[in-house]
Amino acid sequence: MELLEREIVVIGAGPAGLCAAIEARRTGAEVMLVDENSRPGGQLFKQIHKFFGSSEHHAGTRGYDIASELCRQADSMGTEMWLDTVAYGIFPEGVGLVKNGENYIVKAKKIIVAAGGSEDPAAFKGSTLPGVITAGAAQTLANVDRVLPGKKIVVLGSGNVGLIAAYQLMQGGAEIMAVVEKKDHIGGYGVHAAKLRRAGVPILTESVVTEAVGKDSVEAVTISAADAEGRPVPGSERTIEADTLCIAVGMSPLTELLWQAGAKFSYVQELGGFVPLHDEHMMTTLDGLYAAGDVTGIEEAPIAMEEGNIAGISAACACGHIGPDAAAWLCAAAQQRIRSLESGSFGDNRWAARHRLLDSMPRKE
Amino acid sequence: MSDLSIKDHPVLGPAPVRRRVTVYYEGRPVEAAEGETVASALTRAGIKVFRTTEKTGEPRGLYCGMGRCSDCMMVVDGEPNVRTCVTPVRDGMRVEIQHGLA
Amino acid sequence: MKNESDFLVLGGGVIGSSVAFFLSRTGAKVTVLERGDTAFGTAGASGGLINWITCAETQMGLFMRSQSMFEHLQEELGADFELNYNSYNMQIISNEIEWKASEQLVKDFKLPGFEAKLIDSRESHQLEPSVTDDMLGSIYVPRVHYLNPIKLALAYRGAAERAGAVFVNGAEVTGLTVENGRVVGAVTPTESYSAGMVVNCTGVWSDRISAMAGVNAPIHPIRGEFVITEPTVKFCNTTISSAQYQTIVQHPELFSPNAIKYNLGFSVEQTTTGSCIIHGTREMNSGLDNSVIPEVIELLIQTACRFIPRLGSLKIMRTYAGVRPGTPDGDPYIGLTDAVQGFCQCCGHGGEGIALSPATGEAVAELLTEGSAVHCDISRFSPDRPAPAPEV
Repeated sequence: MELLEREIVVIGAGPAGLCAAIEARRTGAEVMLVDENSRPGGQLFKQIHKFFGSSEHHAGTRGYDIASELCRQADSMGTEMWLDTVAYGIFPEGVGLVKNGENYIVKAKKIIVAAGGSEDPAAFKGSTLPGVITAGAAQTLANVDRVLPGKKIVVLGSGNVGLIAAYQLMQGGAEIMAVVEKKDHIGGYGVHAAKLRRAGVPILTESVVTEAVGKDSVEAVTISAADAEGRPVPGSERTIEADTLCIAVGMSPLTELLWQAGAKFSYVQELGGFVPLHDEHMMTTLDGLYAAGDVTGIEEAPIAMEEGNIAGISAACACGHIGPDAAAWLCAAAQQRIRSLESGSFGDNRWAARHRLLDSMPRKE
Repeated sequence: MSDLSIKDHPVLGPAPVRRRVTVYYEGRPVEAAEGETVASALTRAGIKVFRTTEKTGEPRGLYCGMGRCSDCMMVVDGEPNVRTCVTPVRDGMRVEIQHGLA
Repeated sequence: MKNESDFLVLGGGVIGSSVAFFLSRTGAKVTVLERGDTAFGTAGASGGLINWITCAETQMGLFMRSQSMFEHLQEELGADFELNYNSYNMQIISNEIEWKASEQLVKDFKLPGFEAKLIDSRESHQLEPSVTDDMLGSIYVPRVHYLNPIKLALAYRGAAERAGAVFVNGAEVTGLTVENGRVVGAVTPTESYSAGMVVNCTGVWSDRISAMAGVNAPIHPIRGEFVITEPTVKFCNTTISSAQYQTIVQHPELFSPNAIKYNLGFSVEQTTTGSCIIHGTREMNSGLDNSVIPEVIELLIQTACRFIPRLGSLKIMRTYAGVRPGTPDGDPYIGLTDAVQGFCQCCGHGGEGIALSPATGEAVAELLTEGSAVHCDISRFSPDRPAPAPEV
């Protein structure tokens, strides 16, 4: 076991972690950025669609280009990058890391956890068959390695993840047999749904998948009408030919490191489940431990980036690299940008949830 | 290449030319592109069954694609429990269906 | 009347659940108060090994009675707790010094029907092919059993509930009701309970409960840490440990500083799911802190891989720690006390709670319903026994 000492350790090199590293480096703080994958960028590197928002949020830029740009910045600013490195625990002694079979304990002044989120599963008869994959897996196959998971694809879930994945698979040459949504309305943005409809993809609301049929892999998918509680209506089943079923029923934050470290949590439906309590500096209930990005609540990349900015600036300020007034000014600007992102029918209730979370943060005496 | 390959993409453009390597699935040669994951290479070749479960022998394949769910684990060059969705291919790599536990 | 029973058992671990079962079997009305859920405390972080060769001499009576009760306990409780009865333990001997110490142990610790023996490397490998070649042989300890401690606690509970006992979860005892020198009940943040007799089975936290009754019964917490591996095909037939624990005190020079610091008595077993449990520290300065220490995890893993090389290829799934309720003289507190009426102690079992649970529950039930324990003499565990002389 090798003992190391660092100033700021950022766990997770997705958009939130990269931005935290960049902002902290900008103040002159030393930053070690760790990621279990062999390349940084998190989920961004497989996003091929153009992002929305303002120019500050790289609107009009494709996800993988944003990822490249952030990586380039972090790298050119001298961030110490450890890839293929698993952070397995946060102990009083330091952050436990494994790289190349070697065990390290890194004592850090400040730790920022930006571990992201992962996709929720869905269980039904046949849901474990090969050919049932997450929307994220489908995107990686298609957009990074240029291979379709199949030719006839059913997508379960009409949130943005499902709609975007369906469209990207279509762009890759697959036939989208249906998008299945249990509620009575589409979950994602209208603009994404419109692109699918124009291409003739049926978006079936008030519907659920009841079975993935096949012997060794998916050969067909059975869809039923759903009642108000989302349960299948008996007798309404129909089976359509498909070789792939993409699951896009929601995401949850990957919070194990924060649980293990002892941070306090709250259950917030709008943000994807159990999320860590944090203050306006993105610091959790544990002094010196920050959280940013999807790990604090499932939202979109631009918000993850702003939370990363706030965490990076705040951690650097706590280390004395930037004065409290300058830090406050920068963080306030980031909060403003988050507000403008969390607006409209989709964003308002997340903004409200964010504030409820801040209110439940125990105040220091 | 089978027709699961995306040769020309409206956004990504034509597929970049990558060095070809050969991996062996259950002894049978499968062409792969250098740098891609084992899971991607097998998927392109139409291979879906990666392992079978311990108790009931049911087939499992790629699911989460990010190294978390362990459904894609196979025996790679004799080593079991290798998550093929985060493992890059290597020329001559032997990949076998993992039956049950490591 | 609501919340009134014959016996109020505090603590729903393996001891509390066992006591509740044996008491309710007599027809008495029993209520158990547990602040979390069954086995949330030490029982939920235990190895599940029942080994006569490491049992303290003072506890042999309870141990032997327990071990004969275990033979049919699954049938009696109507539940499966993954009991592997009459298996063996293999303690690897690494050097001459350990060999000599082991010879002595085997000589000194003979009991009728319980005889350990030394076997050579060849025979050791026939039993357990996966152990290292770098060994002289091992101590073969027969008549060793193991089980799933959480399922055992749940089994006691299920049988107790079928006999009418009521288990209340989420009920942290915040005080005892004492009237005229008699404990008459307990209170939680939301309820109060009364009973003819309150039984303290709160293990690691029992000193706090004792204090509420005005009884001084110190607990010395001793932490033990665990590493659980991913499931793998069955390769290990029993519990494999090391004979090093015998020589660690006399020959510290043979051990790494951390092995001494954390009092390592390492052992490994494979569960029915295929995961391996690696454990065996006895940390005397832990207090009630059940967090894991990175260098202890590394110590456990390195030791395990040294003795069973193929463990090195497995991934770690999780780590955790449990705190054992030790006492100043190493024996539990079992029985009534002159200090206060209506209060029975049944705590401080150290690392033997699982192993001693059947006879303990039976003895307490006999004491409280018939006037004295019948199968075992528990007088030496009296809470009123003199404290041991302080170590110089």
